[in-house]
Amino acid sequence: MKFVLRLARSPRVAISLILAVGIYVGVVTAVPQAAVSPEEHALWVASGGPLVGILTALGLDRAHTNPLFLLLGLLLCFSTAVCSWDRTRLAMRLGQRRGQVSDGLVRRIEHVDAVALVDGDSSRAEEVVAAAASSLGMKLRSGRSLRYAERGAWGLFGSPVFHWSIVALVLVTGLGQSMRWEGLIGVPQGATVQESASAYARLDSGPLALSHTEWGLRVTGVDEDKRIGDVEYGVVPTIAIVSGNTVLAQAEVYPNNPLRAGPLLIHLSDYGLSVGVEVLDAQGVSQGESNHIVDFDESSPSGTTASAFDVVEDGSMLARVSVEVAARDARGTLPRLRPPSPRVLMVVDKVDGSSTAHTLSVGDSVPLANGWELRVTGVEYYARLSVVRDWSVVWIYFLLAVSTMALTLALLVPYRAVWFRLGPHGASTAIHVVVVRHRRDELFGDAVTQALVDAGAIRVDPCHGEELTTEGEVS
Amino acid sequence: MSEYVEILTMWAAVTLFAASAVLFTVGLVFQRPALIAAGMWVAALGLVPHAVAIGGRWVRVDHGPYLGFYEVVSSYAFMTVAALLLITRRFSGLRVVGVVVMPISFLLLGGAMLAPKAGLEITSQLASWWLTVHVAFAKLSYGAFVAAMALGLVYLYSDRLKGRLAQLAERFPSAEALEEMTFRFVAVGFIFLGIMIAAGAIWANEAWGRYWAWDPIETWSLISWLVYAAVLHARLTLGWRGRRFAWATVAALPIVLFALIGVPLVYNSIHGAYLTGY
Repeated sequence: MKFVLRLARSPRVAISLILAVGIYVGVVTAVPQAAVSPEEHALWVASGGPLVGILTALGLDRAHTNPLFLLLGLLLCFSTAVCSWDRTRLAMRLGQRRGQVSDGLVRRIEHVDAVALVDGDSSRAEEVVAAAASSLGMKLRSGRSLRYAERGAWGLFGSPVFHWSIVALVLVTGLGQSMRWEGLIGVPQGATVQESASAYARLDSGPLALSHTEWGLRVTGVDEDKRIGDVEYGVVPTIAIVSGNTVLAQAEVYPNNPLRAGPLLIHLSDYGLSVGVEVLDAQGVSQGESNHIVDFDESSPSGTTASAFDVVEDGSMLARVSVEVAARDARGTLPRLRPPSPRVLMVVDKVDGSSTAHTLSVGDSVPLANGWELRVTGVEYYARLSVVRDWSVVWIYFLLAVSTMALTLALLVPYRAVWFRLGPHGASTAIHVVVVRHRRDELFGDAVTQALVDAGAIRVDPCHGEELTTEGEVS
Repeated sequence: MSEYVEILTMWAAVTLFAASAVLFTVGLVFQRPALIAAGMWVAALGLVPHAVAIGGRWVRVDHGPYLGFYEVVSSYAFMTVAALLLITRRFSGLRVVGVVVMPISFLLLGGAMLAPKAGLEITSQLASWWLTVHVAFAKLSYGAFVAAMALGLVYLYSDRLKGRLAQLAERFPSAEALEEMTFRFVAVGFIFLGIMIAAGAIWANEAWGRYWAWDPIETWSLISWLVYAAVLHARLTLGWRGRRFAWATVAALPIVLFALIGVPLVYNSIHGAYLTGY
């Protein structure tokens, strides 16, 4: 265990792991990824090139869930956690020590970095020390024989907090991904679709995915030509999330303006047209209404797919019906915008094997069997919504903010401290200077020396670590 | 400002950057510090029409320089020269850095001038406050890393200057000061790059409902961040000092350049639009 910990806290191992993760994710950008670009990946696999077999066997086309990548990430995370622990202990030790200006400290100071001479008694030397500390932006505290100046005390905790927040970020992201689900759901205008697993046309769930809300998703309106300033948003639906009769949230949904309600985040993935139909029995009594969204086939999202459904009477199928908006263009693509006078192309395949095609206006009907008929009630929009449940996002934002602030503190506001010990030196006063460098900074020692000269020291001699005796004299 | 005037102004900047690059190179080769000083002035002069052209275009197309190869690469050239001027204003002895920076800036701006210049409109996906944060910190991090690389080169070659250029080297900051400045630029660039990545993740979540998708440009931004994390670790924990640290800052820059400019040209990426158009 000691060996593992020693390895984990080794800077060389940490740097190697950082670079290994970087090299791995860089190399795999050359391989089409199934999760990043499924279409490109499918074409690449179909091409059957010489490397395809090897790379897919190694799992490099699913590189970000590959055990090798997960192992590298875990090792880096473990190494960072061990380093974080060490840095926390060091920061706490330095934090506890800082500001101790007792005489006993003199015995713990082993080296001095400079000796400054001040012409005059100790009160003059005190003025020089105070002026030097002030010019360095340091806060000065006084003990009986020691003066202690410091700045950037918060910086002591910058590095530990940064490293811990990176560890937390990796863990929260991993846990969030395993509990997250994301799906595409089509909601016709005016209809309400219950948010449940079966309602999704496509659903990607992590192994520990959270439950669905069973809330209702409703498209309450559509703006066909949304504009804000000079920016065109096109067709924008207004989405409501309802629980029973209570509207939990409602808003127009367009890029950069998602709808949030509880744990759900809803974006507009796309939109299209839907056809409303009503089944009437032989007596003309309504047996049910439904909306059928056109072109919701993820394998063919090019606007060419009709919607098909079965009409059933007492468990017996009367007909299979296919509907689409009858306005395909020259390339066979379905219309994106609702025509002013929409017409519906309905193909009815009856159980007797006969098939008939009808072009209908809203309000028109088509006979099925046994006197039943199917009536077109309307042509409206539908919204294809991307619905995500991911509790981790807000924590990821929080940790990104914390890590950025901590990193800024650690790198740009480093902790600096200087001890000054004053003592007589003939007619003058000697100031023994000990510079505490939490992170080695050659220039800070020079800055202290310069500050003492500027403050009125008549001479400053760098000592480069000569020993300081308990009497306070340089040996 | 009309497009015609903008292009004329931009060509004036290209010409002045080219002249500056020539002056720096000739000054270094023939050991003429006066030519290097002149190169500095010409670079500063070139920045004026460049700023005017960028500003005029900003007003005309109603968005900052972040859409299309022409705008993006031109603005990186601007940041490069601006970083040079800022550093040499503080440390005039570092003017010799221009011998590296000005040819790069000239090539960047000259390359940008060969790209289509039609103004791309802000789409609904791009209409976000996070775009401004994301792009601003991308350019700031790039500027900081270029400055660190230039200081690293000065550190590496300052003791090799001979003849009259050696007099120039006498005005350089001390080796320790150069190293500390390099470290600070790397540190600031690392922080800015982190903010750029975080802002991009937040923006992606708002626009598309996912904060990270391993898109090539996201991935290469992360790689750049990891590489600079390794450089900082090497200095702070392994104690890499002097020439090793300087070499590390020089070696790391091409990865950032590739992430910012190369990736959209090499990979098929949803981010590519910002360089290659929609």
